[in-house]
Parts: sequence; C-alpha cells; structure tokens
Amino acid sequence: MANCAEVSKLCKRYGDFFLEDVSFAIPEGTVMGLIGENGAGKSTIIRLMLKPSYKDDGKVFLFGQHIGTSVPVAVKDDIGVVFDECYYPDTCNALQMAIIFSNIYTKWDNALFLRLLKRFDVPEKKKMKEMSRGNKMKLSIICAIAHRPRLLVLDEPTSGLDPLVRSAMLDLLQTFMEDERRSILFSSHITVDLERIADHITCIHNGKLRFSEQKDDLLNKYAIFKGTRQQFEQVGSEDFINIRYDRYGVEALCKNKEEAAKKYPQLTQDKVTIDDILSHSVGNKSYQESEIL
Amino acid sequence: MIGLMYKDMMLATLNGKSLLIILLIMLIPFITSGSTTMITTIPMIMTLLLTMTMFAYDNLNKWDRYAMVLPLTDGQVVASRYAVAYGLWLATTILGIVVSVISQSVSKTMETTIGNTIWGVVTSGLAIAVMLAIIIPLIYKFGAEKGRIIIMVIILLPTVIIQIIKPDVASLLEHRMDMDSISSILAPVALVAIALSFFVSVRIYEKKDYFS
Repeated sequence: MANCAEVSKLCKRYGDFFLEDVSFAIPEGTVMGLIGENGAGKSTIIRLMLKPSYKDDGKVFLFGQHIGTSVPVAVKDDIGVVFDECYYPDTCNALQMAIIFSNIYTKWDNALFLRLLKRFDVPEKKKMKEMSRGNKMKLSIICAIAHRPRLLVLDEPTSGLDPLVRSAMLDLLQTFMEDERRSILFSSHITVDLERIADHITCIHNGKLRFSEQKDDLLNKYAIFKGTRQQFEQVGSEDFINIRYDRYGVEALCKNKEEAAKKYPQLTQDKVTIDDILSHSVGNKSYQESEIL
Repeated sequence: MIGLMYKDMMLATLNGKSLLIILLIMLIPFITSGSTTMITTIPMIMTLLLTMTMFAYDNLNKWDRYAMVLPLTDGQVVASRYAVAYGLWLATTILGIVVSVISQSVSKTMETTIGNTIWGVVTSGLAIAVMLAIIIPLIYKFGAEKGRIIIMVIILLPTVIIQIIKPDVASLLEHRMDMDSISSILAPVALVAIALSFFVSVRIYEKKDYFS
C-alpha cells in the first residue's frame, strides 16, 4: 500500500521545545490518529508537513513526492486542512466562503458543499462571528472536504466541542473515508474520537515519537494489569511500560498481554483504551499520588 | 488568487461603505468652496485606511495561518493583496479626479484651471502609490498593529516637509509644466517602487512563520 504522507526524522527547535527525529507514515486509505499531551509537538508536525521550510531537518513526502521547502500548488490542491480554530473572516458567511474557495481550489464541488451544509445544519447566510463554535468547526470541515482532497489534515478540530457536534463531525469524516484512496491525519487528545475512526495511532511526547502502530494491534496487544501492592512487589518493572500506584492498589500497562498474563496469573487483566495507553505512555514511570497531594 | 481578491474586496467594502458616506459628507463643503488641497488628499486617506483594514482583519482572524495551506504560491497570496490595494488606489484616484472636476465646475472661487487641478490629483495619487509601496512590506514585516504607527510616521513626515516648504509647493501648483514634470518623475518612481515593494513583501511573507 502506497503512503499518502510520510515524515522522516523531522526536527524543529522552538525556544525550549525540540521536535526530535519524528518519523511516521500514513498509508493511503487510512486514518492516522496523532496523540500526545498539550505541547507535545502534534501541531508542530502538522505545520512542518504543510510548510516544510519551517523545519530544521528531516524530510516530508506527500503523495509519494519529496517536498523541498514549499508544497507545490498542485499538491496543496489535494489537501484539506482544518485547524483547532476557524480562521475564516468573521464577517463572511458560508456562501461567501464558497465563492472564495471555488476561485482557489480547482476541484471545488459547490453542489457537495451545499448538500453538506444542509446535512449538518450549518446556516448558509449567517456571518462567522454570529455562528457557534460547533457550526464554525463543522463549516471548516465541510470546506476542507468540498474540494475533494485526497488527504485531510485535522489539527484538534474537536477540542472544546460538545459530544453531539463531535459525533456529527466524526460521521462526516467517516463519509469522507468511504473513498478508499483518501486518508486523514487527525491530531487530537480526545482519544475516544480516534478510537472510533483511526486505523493507526502515532503518539508524540515531549517532541519525541513514542510509538506509531495500528490501532487494532495496540488494543489487542496492550493491556492494563491490576493488583495490590503486595502482588506487584513480585513483578519485574521491565515487563510493564508504566506502573501507577494509588490508594486502592496498583495498575500497570503492558505491551504484551499474553506473556504478562502467563507470567503474572495473580494480576487482573483489563481491556485497554487509547486513553490508557496515552496516559501511561506519557506519564511518569512510576508515581504515588499520596506523595504528590 | 481571484478568491483572495474577492475576500479582500469584501473586507474593504465593509468599511468602504461607511468611509464613502463620511467622504461624501466631507466633500460637500470642499466642492462648494473649491478647495483642491482636501480633494487631492482624499484618495490618500481612503486607500491607506482600506489597505490597513484588510491587513487588520486578516490579523484579527489569523487568516495568514490558513492562507499558508491554500493551493497558492506565496507570490500569489501577496500579489492578490497588491492587486486589491492598487485597484482601490486607482478607484480613489479616479474618484479624486471626478470630484475635483465637479468642484471646479461648481465653484466660482477656483484660482487654477481644471487641467492643473487634475494634474494635482494625479501627482498626489502617484505620491500615494509610492507611499503604499513603502507601507505594505512594512505591514507584512511588523504586522497591522505596529504598521499603524509606521503609517502615521510615513504620512506625517511628508506633511511636515510640505508644511516647511509650503511656498514652493504653492508656486508649483500655479505652473502646469512644473506639475507635469513632477508627475513624469513620479510615474516611473512609483512603478519601480511598486515592483521593489512586491519583491520585498514576497520575501518577507515566505520567511514569516505566522504560527510562532
């Protein structure tokens, strides 16, 4: 399967922050979830992919083409981007935005745009400054989809939205993915959204790549093991990615649940979520809540 | 590029309508009194204000972050801004000429001929074109907020100079040949200034990180 987008050893320094040697690929027809805590470097990666001249080092490939300092216009024409905020002029309405974009994107589909506005109840003639954040973000995604891109880049578009709007947006993305030549890079720390639509998960922590794996592999291989402090005294910490102590007991994330289950039958095994993997992967190796509070 | 120009025109017309009303109200006493000085400064005020409005709105909406991902080259993004700014400049200069001709016809107190008045507007229009060429790259470099202060300085500086050498300017206004020669010098200067300004603005825009 060809890669729709790929970054290799991407580096960028912004003051104290350092994005270091980040590499991952988004296969065609898949959704890549980009996770990490606030300030981990997710948005920086997206900016470097869209404007490679900002990078200090590394390589960016889009649709198999090595991108030098700037993304060629023809390549940009195939990319739809949604940021965490809507940057459209607040005095414009949806129909005026359509006029702007129809004169910029070569494949702008106005009929599709109008259908999507109706389907997702986005007002056509209401100015941006009078719209709710949910409607603005829905409009951003609709505009990004209406020019029929091959790659959709979403930089935390669902943060701060209520579950109903988030659900509507995910429906929209699932509709977009019905064409298997399309791909999505979806940065978010709302991991529930990614669990619903992502095929791959890439985790960034402090500017470094923690892992980049298939979502199903993560959910099938990883597990949370729980037990008492006494039970955990007998386990080797090397078998776990992270061990977390609290007043009720101990929980730990392991990467190979079958091996761990055989080795430590005294521990209880729980199904893992992306949220568990994220919080354990980027959290401290081991800490006691009572020591902090 | 046409899409961006449409956006800029929409932003410009937002303030343009109220500016036009103020302008028309202001023009009545100048038309009846035949004051050519104010008529020739009107294009300057309108063009600069509208250009500033476009940059200020983009800054407010963080549009440049979004423009970065549009299928346009940096040169095209900057070119669309220049096209709208100089389109407005052309429109307001023509408006200045029309108003000055009407003023000349209506007023009985005019001391100069229609030809001289038109040359006066054209000359000041060319001076404004040069000023725009200086201002736009400075706004790209320093942003709309700091740009306002820079524009104030740029507008005030020639005004102060003109105030100092006022008698010479007055004598120039009376001699059409002198106005012609000023225009003939200013025309190529304005063209070179616009070309240089565009080149510099593109370089600034290419290097600017609107996310930092």
